[in-house]
Amino acid sequence: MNESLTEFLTTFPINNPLLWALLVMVVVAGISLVLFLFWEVLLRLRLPFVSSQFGSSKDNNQSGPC
Amino acid sequence: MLEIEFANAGVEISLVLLLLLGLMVGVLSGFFGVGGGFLITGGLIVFGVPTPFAVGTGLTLIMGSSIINTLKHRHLGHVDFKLGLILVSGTIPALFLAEWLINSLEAAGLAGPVIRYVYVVVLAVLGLFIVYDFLRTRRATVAQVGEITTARLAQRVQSLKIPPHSITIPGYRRVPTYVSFPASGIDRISVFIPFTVGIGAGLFAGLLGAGGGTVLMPVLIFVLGIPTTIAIGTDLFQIIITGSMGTFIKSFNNHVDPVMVVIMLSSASLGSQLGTAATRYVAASRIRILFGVTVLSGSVAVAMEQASRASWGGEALSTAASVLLLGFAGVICIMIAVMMVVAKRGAGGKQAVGRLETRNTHEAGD
Repeated sequence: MNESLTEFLTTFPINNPLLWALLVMVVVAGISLVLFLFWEVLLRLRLPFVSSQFGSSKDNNQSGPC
Repeated sequence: MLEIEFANAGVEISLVLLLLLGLMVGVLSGFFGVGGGFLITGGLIVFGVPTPFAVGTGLTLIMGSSIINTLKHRHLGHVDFKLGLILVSGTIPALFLAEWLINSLEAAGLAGPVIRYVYVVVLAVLGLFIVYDFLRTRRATVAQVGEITTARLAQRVQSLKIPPHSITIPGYRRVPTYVSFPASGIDRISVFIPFTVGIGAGLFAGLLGAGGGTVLMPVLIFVLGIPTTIAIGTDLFQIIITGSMGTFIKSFNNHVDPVMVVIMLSSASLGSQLGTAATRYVAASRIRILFGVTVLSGSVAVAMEQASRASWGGEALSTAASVLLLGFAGVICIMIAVMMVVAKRGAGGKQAVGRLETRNTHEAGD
């Protein structure tokens, strides 16, 4: 399993650079979305003040130099 | 410590170190609205990753963490998508222009030093300006603030009249070249101004291999007059585009290690949550001063890196520069966590922040 993964990671980018570039982008974007949802749910349950759903930031929005 | 072998980059790195680096990048990225390219690349090089893989893997991590940060800031209402799209329309052609400039400089054998000198000067000027602005605002009384504040610069920029004032779209009608950004509190501004800012950010990003957020964030705040948290969210949205383009190019050239990215992304996603949440509890003026000091440390680190190429004992100086940068980033992360906890425990949390800002920021005088 590990060896076949290593072989894939080392040979596929050389043989199919365009597909590899697209694959990397799609995989990283997909994992980012999953991780965002995972931490959102976990933190909402455990640390609600860190979650996006806790209140709004209107006060701090007005705090720029404009 | 648990060592992992990375097939693409051809190195063995401790899992704990990678997770720590990812966590720091996530916190700083979510808190400041920057990609953190200078930190990731420096850190990975210290860990022994070959430079092309450090840059490529860093850009890919920037893309992932900026997706997470933008989603988080969108939930909080911090992203001005209309402004972001106009910025991106300037950024994309500028990235190609930067690529052409780099190739020209490389042909002349000047790319490395020129880029590093520009980096040092730009970061130093930005950092000093932010620190100076913070100190001046602190010293000023409420009555004086209106006279000395950079908000006047933003007002002047917003009122600039740049021809043509309208353009004809074939088959449609004449449309004005002035737009409003309600989410950013801008009633009317020439579309050419954010477009030009986007070009500048793209040039910086393309030339220096970073997401461009380091320059764009303070420009949005001090030149366009956008509230700090909106500038952070919109900056991150723009970084998704620049990071994606960088990721594509670097992956195409096989300079990305996806396993390393996924490991760092897992901790960066937690750091992003914490960093973004901290922007709700920490006063905007404090966000700016921390950002200014971080940018200054980046400037010092790059200057040391440049000096290491010209002096004896260069390798040690180069390592010291990266260690300084990582150590400083760690200290800033701890400060952010402490300020967040203190503000959370303080009376009313956000209300206290609002009162503090009313007293301390530029808005107070206007």
